Amino acid sequence: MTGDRKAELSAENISVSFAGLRALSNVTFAVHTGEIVGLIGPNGAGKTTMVNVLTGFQRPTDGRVLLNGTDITRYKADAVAKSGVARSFQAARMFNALSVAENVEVAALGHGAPRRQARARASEILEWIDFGGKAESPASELSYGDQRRLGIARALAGAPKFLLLDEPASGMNDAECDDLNAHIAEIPSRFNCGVLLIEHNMRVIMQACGRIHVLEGGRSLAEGTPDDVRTNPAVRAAYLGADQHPPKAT
Amino acid sequence: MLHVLQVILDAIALGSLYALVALAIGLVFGVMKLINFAQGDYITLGAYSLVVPSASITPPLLFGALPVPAMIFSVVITCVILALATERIAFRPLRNSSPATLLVASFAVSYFIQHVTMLVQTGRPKSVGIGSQLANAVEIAGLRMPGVQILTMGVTLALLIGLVLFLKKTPLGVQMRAAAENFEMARLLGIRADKVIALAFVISGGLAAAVSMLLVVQTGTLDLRMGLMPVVIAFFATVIGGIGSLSGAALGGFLVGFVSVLLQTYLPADLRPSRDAFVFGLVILTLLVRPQGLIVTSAAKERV
Amino acid sequence: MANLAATLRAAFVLAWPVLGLLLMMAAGVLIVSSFGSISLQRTLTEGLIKIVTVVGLYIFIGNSGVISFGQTAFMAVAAYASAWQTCCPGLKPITMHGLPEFLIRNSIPIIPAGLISILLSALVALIVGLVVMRLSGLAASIATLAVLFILNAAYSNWDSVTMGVSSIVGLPTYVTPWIAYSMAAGAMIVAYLFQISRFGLMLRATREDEVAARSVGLSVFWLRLIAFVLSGIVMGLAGVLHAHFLGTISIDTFFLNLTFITLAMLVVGGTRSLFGAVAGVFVVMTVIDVFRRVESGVDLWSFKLALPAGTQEVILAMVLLGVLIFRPNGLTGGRELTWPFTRSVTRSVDSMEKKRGHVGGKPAR
Repeated sequence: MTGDRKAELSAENISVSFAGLRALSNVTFAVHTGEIVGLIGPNGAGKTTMVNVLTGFQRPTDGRVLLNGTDITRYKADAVAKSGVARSFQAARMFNALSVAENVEVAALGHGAPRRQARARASEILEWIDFGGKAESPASELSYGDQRRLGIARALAGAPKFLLLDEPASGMNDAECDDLNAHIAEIPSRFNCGVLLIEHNMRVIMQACGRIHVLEGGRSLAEGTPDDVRTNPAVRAAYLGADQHPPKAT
Repeated sequence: MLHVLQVILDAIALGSLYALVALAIGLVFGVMKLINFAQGDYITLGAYSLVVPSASITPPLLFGALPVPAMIFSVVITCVILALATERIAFRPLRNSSPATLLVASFAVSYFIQHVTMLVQTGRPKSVGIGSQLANAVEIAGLRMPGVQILTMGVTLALLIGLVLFLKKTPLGVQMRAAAENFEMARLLGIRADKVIALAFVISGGLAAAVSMLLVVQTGTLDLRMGLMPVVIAFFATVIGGIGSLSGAALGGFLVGFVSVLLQTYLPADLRPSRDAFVFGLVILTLLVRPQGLIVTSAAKERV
Repeated sequence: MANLAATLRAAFVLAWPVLGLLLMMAAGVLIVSSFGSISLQRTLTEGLIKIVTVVGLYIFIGNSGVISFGQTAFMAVAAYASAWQTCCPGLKPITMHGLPEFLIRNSIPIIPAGLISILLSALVALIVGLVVMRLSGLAASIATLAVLFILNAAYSNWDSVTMGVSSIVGLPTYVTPWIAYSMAAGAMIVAYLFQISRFGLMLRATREDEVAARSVGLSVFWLRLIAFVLSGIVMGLAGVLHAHFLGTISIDTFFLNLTFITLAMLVVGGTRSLFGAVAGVFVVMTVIDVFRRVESGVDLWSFKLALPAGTQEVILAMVLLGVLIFRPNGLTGGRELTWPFTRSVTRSVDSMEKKRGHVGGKPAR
């Protein structure tokens, strides 16, 4: 890793237990700017817990989270966000009474942008993700798929160095997935950040990610390119054993 | 030394009384996220049911004139019916509202009951002589204790133990506790919401009845605000104990009662009237140190 | 030129939610102060002071979504502070001998006294807020209730300064309908400016979803604290006005009853809009006033109808419950007053202007 000048968000030996139950044990991996890393695993593998740890919503029992070498393990969630790690949620978690534009604007304000700049930022991002016409409607009136996309737009508002997407494609149909895919693929270069993508939909994962990290039962099972992971016997066993979303060719 | 022991017994008596009220609040909160301000008015109305409704300040007895078992039964039934009625009329339609809305609603219910009572009974305190023979002191092992004190301790401890056994040992109680700690999960497991919520209100009504009779025996007066202090203290108790935790609520209630007796005894005389300010100040300090309360449940943490 | 006109028009539309209310209220004050009876004028002034109070509640509760029972305590702080400075010079050495020497001997002119009082309530709100705003929503609500009880217990027993539970009588009464109106206007403008400011927007985001708000870098604590202190300032103003309208204060007037009535006003109107706060005061004041009159007896055709005292409170509780059940977002549904002649061109001028709050309250988990 030495000599790598790229920014890096890394989890080092992260363990989390809830009331004696191990949700994560000793997980280590990293994301760099400019790449999209997939985080996959059966239900209950600890993927969302990992995102919570990385974004300050969950203190790990053990281990460290480093952002470009700075230890941010004990930062509060809002401080983590301000230092450049943004996320979306599995449930959409919109600011329902606010308009679509305000949802994004307020996120830019949260990162300290002046009002005018926040507004410009919001309309720029909304345009990119094809929301232009709906900017003034209340977020609560959006379809489920649109709410998920708004979640991504909102997370991008603060110009994060790293973006953590928690199942952004859930509940989307194939056409919506493809559109989402195209947008996610653009994020690293366009917004100059690294992406960690949690997804059950293998079609999305295999297309988007350069590297995939597999969790099972709170432990790292494998890491590698999509092809490595697809052909890895341990991964196949975990998925087929659990009888869930076996990775299939796209 | 003997004096210290006496103070400790006093503190235990008051502590367990508040623990009862806090448990009632905690149970109802667990099943429907309602912090029920009207719990205090169940207590007040239970006490007023002892006398014939009138404007008189020394009214004739109603339930209070019955033999003790019948009196207890009637007051309990009154409080339970009242609790169930408020649930059915006011709280059930709001079941899916936010906790803040429910809190305001219970404020309104309380205001309603209080002023209807005032319309009938007037706002003046009344005196009622029930259990005055209990005022005589009893001497046990060198400790002179008023009979009321012994009664309070006996009843509250018995109810606390009974309730704990009910919640831990009976199938219904286990369902109740499961629902109070994680309502959604309980529903998924097939526990019926209506039944569990109704049961929580029945218990809270029953506990209110017990507290109301104990208060009347202790003070010999009826007052529209007699339920206010216990219920407010129970509020703080549930927060100190950790919102959503039943054992936390009981513990919190006990601690607040215990501490207020200690303050009442050991505070300098000129500060004693402001005892409640100190008690509540301690409540806030405790929350500063432990914002989640003494016992943190998974229900208290927002799921991400 | 066209550009300037468009900007002015946009500013007008943006200001309308508060401007429109102020114009309607001004018309009301003009009519009542010219033609109304003395008792109606008093009700009007009382109502305007209630608007200051409820707008104060709204600044915090409406934007943060956290119910506070403690704001009336800040009214009491300012009301007493103003009494210490302006009241009863001859009696102070006897009745309030615990005051600082300077205050016992001197009276302070009403305007600086009012400002100092408001400053004091802001300071108390800051100290309380630093502690209480660290708690989660529901725990914070209960902690604010504790604050109300603490202040009540302290002032009830701090005899040498507050005269305990007895009333302090003889404050200068200077609050006329027009003074109350201008103060209400000031409070409403402050509330509206806050609401459309970046802090207002950020605070409403925390109200909608606290977790998501933290994930975009919003500090729930600081945002709530700002609104809490601003609310404390407006509550302080309300306390000063209350004291110098009635000319007498006692600690129990700033307790649960006032808390209940003002909270009822806000909820009945709709907690999520300034329009709701003002409309709620109007509706509830009307209900209270009508039943107050009926309680004291009215002639109805041939017989005299007089409801027993206390009916008014029972009705008020029923109104509040009814609104909670049937119109959970209040009578205004959380909408602001909107300029009715807006063309679609101006629609996008400022998103602040738009209707909001049509969504139900967050469901319980």
